[in-house]
Amino acid sequence: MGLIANIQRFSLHDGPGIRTTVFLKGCLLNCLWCQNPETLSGRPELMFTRRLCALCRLCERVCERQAHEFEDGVHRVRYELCAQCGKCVAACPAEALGIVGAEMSVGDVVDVVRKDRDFYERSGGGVTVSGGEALMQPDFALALLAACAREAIHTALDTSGYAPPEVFASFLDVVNLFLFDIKAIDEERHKRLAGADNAWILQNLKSIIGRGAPVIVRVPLVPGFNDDAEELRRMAEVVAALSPKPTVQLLPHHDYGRHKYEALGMSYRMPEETRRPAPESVEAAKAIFAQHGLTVIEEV
Amino acid sequence: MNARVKRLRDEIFTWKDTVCPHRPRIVTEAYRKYESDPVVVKRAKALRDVLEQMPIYIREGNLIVGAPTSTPGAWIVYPEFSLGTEKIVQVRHNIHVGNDFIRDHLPEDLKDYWATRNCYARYAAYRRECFGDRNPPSDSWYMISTALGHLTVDFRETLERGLTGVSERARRRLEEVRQDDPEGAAFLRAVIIAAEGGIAFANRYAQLAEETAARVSDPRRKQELQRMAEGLRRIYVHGARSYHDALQSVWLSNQIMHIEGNAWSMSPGRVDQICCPYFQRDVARGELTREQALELAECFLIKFKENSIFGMRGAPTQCITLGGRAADGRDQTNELTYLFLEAAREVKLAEPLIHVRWHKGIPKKLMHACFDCLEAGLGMPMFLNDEATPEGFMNLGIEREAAFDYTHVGCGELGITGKLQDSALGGSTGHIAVLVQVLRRKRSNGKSLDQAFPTFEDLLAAVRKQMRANAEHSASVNRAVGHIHRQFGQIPFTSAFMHGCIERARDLTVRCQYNFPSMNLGGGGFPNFVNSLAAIRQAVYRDHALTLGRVVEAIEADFQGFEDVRAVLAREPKFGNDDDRVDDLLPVVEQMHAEAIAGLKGPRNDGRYIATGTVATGHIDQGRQLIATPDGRHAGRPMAAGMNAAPDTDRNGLTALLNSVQKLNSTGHWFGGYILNFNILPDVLASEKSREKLMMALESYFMRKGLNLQMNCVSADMLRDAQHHPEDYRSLMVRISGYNDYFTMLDPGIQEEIIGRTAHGVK
Ligand code: SF4
Ligand code: SF4
Repeated sequence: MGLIANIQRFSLHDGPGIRTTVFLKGCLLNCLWCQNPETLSGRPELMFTRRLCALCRLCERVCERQAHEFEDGVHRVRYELCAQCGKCVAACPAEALGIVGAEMSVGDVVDVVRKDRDFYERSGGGVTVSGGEALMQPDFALALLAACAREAIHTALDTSGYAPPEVFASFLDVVNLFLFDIKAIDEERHKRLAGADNAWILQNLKSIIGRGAPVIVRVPLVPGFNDDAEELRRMAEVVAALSPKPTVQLLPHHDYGRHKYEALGMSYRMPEETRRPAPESVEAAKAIFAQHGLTVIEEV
Repeated sequence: MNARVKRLRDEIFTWKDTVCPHRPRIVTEAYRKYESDPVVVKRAKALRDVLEQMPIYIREGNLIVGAPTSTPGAWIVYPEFSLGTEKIVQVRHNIHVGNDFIRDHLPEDLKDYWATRNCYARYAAYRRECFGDRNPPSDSWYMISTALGHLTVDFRETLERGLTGVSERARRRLEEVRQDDPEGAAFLRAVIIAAEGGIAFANRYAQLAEETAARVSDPRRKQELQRMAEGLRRIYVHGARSYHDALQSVWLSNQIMHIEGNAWSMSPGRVDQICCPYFQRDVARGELTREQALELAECFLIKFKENSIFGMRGAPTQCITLGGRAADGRDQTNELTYLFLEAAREVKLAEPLIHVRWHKGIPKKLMHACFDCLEAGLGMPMFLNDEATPEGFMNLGIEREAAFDYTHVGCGELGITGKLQDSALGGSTGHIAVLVQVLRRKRSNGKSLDQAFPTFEDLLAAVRKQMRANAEHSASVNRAVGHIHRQFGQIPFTSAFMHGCIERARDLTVRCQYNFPSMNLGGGGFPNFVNSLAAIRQAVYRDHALTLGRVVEAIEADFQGFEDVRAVLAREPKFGNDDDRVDDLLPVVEQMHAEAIAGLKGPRNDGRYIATGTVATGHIDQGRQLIATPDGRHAGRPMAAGMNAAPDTDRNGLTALLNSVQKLNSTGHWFGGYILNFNILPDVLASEKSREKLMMALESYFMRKGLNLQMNCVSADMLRDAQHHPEDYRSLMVRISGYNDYFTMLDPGIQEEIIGRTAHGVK
C-alpha cells in the first residue's frame, strides 16, 4: 500500500502531454519554499481551512481526542492530539476539514490513472509520479510505475533525486522520463535551503544520465535564495558537464500554496515579499544556462 | 477594429432603453383594416404595412443597414403575441426596466384592442377551459408570447434570386393549389404580400441612402452610400452580386423576420459557407480587400447587438455557425471562417453567439484562431461536434446531406439550415423537482416514506411515473400553444425561407421539411438529479446510514439541525468526476426521459418528441425556488446548468468532467443537444504547448462523441476584481449555458457561481 496525498488529473505541467500526476506523501528534504507542505510528512495529516469553518462545532462533538477547541468564537485545532481517524472530516458540513494522505494499493491508483488513457494517447501524455519524494516509498513507487509501464502508459518520475543511489538506480527500467530537480549546487547552501546535502542528488543525476535515461533537469528559481548569478552559473556548469547534456526547465517560484501551511498547523517560512521572480530575472537565468550550451525550456 | 467600427460598437452602450411605438400602432391599424382577410393574409399585410411605413434610419458610418425599430436599440412590441413580453425577457435576463415597461408606453385603446385578441389572451382562455385550475408550465406563457423560432432559415434562394425569386415560386404554387386548397392559397398569397413588403423595405433604405449621400460632404462616405443604395435596390429584385450584398441581404431578411414575429434564436447559421462564393468572386475580381471584408463582417456582427429586439440588455440568442465538414467528409473551413472569428474577437460582443463545428480534420490554424478568441476573453466560440451531431440527426431519419448542414440556433438547441423546426413549446419532464415532489408527497395509506419505497427501484418507479405524467401534460400544453400559433401567429415571410413550406403551401407553424417537437428535460439541475439519486442510493439503500424519512426532514429544514445528514449526502460521489458510482445512473435517467416522451402526440399532432437538455439562465431561477436537494445543495442555491457539474462539485479536472459527460448517449438520446461549459484560466492558452494539450483533450472528447463544449477563459481574481470595479471590465464576457453576457451585467448570484466553478488545468 502507498500513502497518496493527491491524484491530479488533467495535469498540463508535469511532463509531456496530458498527464495524471500521483503525489505520494513524504519527503526527506524540507525546502523552505515548498508549496506542497501537505506532502512533506510521511503520515496522514488533518487539514483545517479556517475560512470555510462555520463554527458549528460538530467536529468537537465527534472527536474522541478533543482536538477541536472553541474559545471565544475561535476554532483552535490541536493537531498534536489528532489521530487522523477522519470522524470530524465526515461530520463537517462546510468541507473545512480534510485528511491528506490516503492508503491506496497500486491497483487502486492504476484504476484512476487508466481512466484518461485516451487523453494520454492523443496528447503523448501519461502518468507522473511526484511527491513529496516518491522515493520515500520506493517499493510502492516502483510497483506503481512498473504497473503503468506494463499497460504501455508513459511514465515520468518527478524527483528531488535525494535517495540512496542503489534505490534510485532500480527505477531506470520503469521510468520513461525523469523530471529531476536541482535546487542548489553549493553544498552548504543546499543544506540551508533544503535541509540536507546534495551529494546523493548529484551522484544520482550523473549516474542515470550516464546510463542513457531521458532527463529534464528542473530548477526552481526562488528569488533571493538560489537565483544569484554565481549560484546559477555553478549549476549550469555542473549540468553542462553531464553527457549527454540534459534539457533544463526553469520553474519560477510562486506562493499559491501558502494557505496550506496554516491549514496544517505549520508556519510559512518564506519571507512575505518572496513572490514570483520578475520576468527579467527568469530571462537572465535562462541566458546563463544557454551560455553553457544547454537547451532551456519553460514548458514540456 | 478601425475607428469607424469602434464608434459604431461603443455607442451602443450609451443608449437608453426606449420603446418603438410604430410597429404596435401600424399592426393594430392593419388588423382593423384587413379584418375580413384570412389571418395569415392579414398578418402579411400588417408586416408589409410596417415595412412600408415605419420610420427607418441609417447610422452614421454604417455599412450594413436594416433595423426592426425606428431608433437604434429600442424595444420592439408585438401586441398580437403579448403585451408583456418584457416581463419574460426580464426574468430570463435578470434585467429591470420598470414593472410594466412596454405597457406604460402603449396607448390605452391599443391595449384594449389586444386584451382579448392576442395569442397570450387566447391561450389564457384556452387554459381556463381545458386545464381548469391546473397551471400550465410557466415557460409555456413565454412560448405563447413569442412567435415560433429557434431555427436557422435558408437564405440561399433569396441570395441567388432575391425576394422576387421567392415570390415567383409562391405564385407558381398558388396557380396549382388555388382551386382546391383555400388554406394553402391564403398562405401563398401571404408569402407574396410579405415579399412585396420586403422589397419595399429595401428600396426605402436605398432611397434613404441616396438622400443621405446627397447631403454628406465626405466624398468617401458619399460613394459608400451610393454603393449601398445600389446594393439595396439589387438584393431583393435580382439577388446578391457581391459579398457586401450577401451580408446585407442576410441581415435585412433576418430583420424582417424579427419584425414579423418576436421569436428567439432566429439564427443566420453558416454565414461563412453561404457568403463565401460572393467573397471569392469579389476577391478574384480585385473588388474587395481583406480589410474591407473584415470591416463589413464587423459591421454585420455589430448589428446583432444594435438590434436586439428586447432592448439593450436583452439578447434573443442569435448564433452564427462557422466551419465544419460536408457530408462527403470535405473540410469546409474557408477564408470567411477565419474572417468572422477575427471580427468577433475584435468587436467582442455578447451577440451573436459564435459556434465552430469541430471535426477530425479541423485545421490546427482554425483551432488557434478559436483559442485566440477565448484568450481575448470573448467566451466563444463554442465547439460543436461533426463527429456526433449529424449521426444523431441521421438516427432520427434525417437525410445525410441535411444532417451535415446543421447549425446551432442558440439557447442550446440545434437546427438544420432551412429544414428543421424543433422548438420546445413549454413544459418538461422535470427531474430534480420531480424527485423532491415524490419524496414529499403525502401518503394517504399511512405508510412511512421508507415503507413506501422499500427499494431504490421503487423510488425510481415513482419518479418515472411522475415524469411521464409531466410529459403528457406538457405535450397537451404544447398542442394548445401550437394550435394557437397555427391560427393566430403565422409567419409567412419566415416560412418562405424554410424548405417544405411553399411546396406544401403551409405556414411554418404547420410544418416544414423536418419537424421534431423537443421537450426540455426540466431546465437546469440534471446533474443535481443524478447526484441526488446517487446519494440516496448509497446513503439510504446501500450503507443504511440514513433513512429516506430523515433525508426528507433534512431537505425540508434546509439542513438546519441536520448538518450531519448534509455532510453524508454532500460527500457522496458527484457527476462530473468520472466516478461510476454516480455516472452509472446516466443511462437509467436517459431511459426514464425516453420513456416519458415516447409516443406523445406533439403540437402538430405528429413528429417524435426529442429530448433537449437546454437551459438559459433557468438554473438560477429554478434553484431560487426549490428547497434543498438530496445532493446536499442548500435551498435557493443555483442548479447545475446543462451538463456542467453541479456548482463546485467537479473536482477532478477537465478530463474527468469530459469522461463523465461522454458517458451520455449523445447520438441516441440528446438529439436536441446539451450544454457543457468549463472555465479555464488564461495561462492555459498562453503557450503553444498547453494549447496543443487542450486541443488533444477536445479531440479525445469529441471522438468519443461529446456533443459540444464551451470554454470560458477567466481567472477568479479577475472576476472578483470585476465585481468591485465593474467600470474596468465593461466588455468582460462570460458564457452561461448557451448564451453570453457581460459579466458586470449579471445577477450577483450568477457572478458568484461563475467564480465558484472550478478553473481547470491550473494548480
Ligand atoms: S481526525 Fe479524528 S482525531 Fe483527528 S481531529 Fe478529527 S475526529 Fe479528532
Ligand atoms: S465541523 Fe467544520 S464547520 Fe463545524 S466547527 Fe468543525 S470545522 Fe468548523
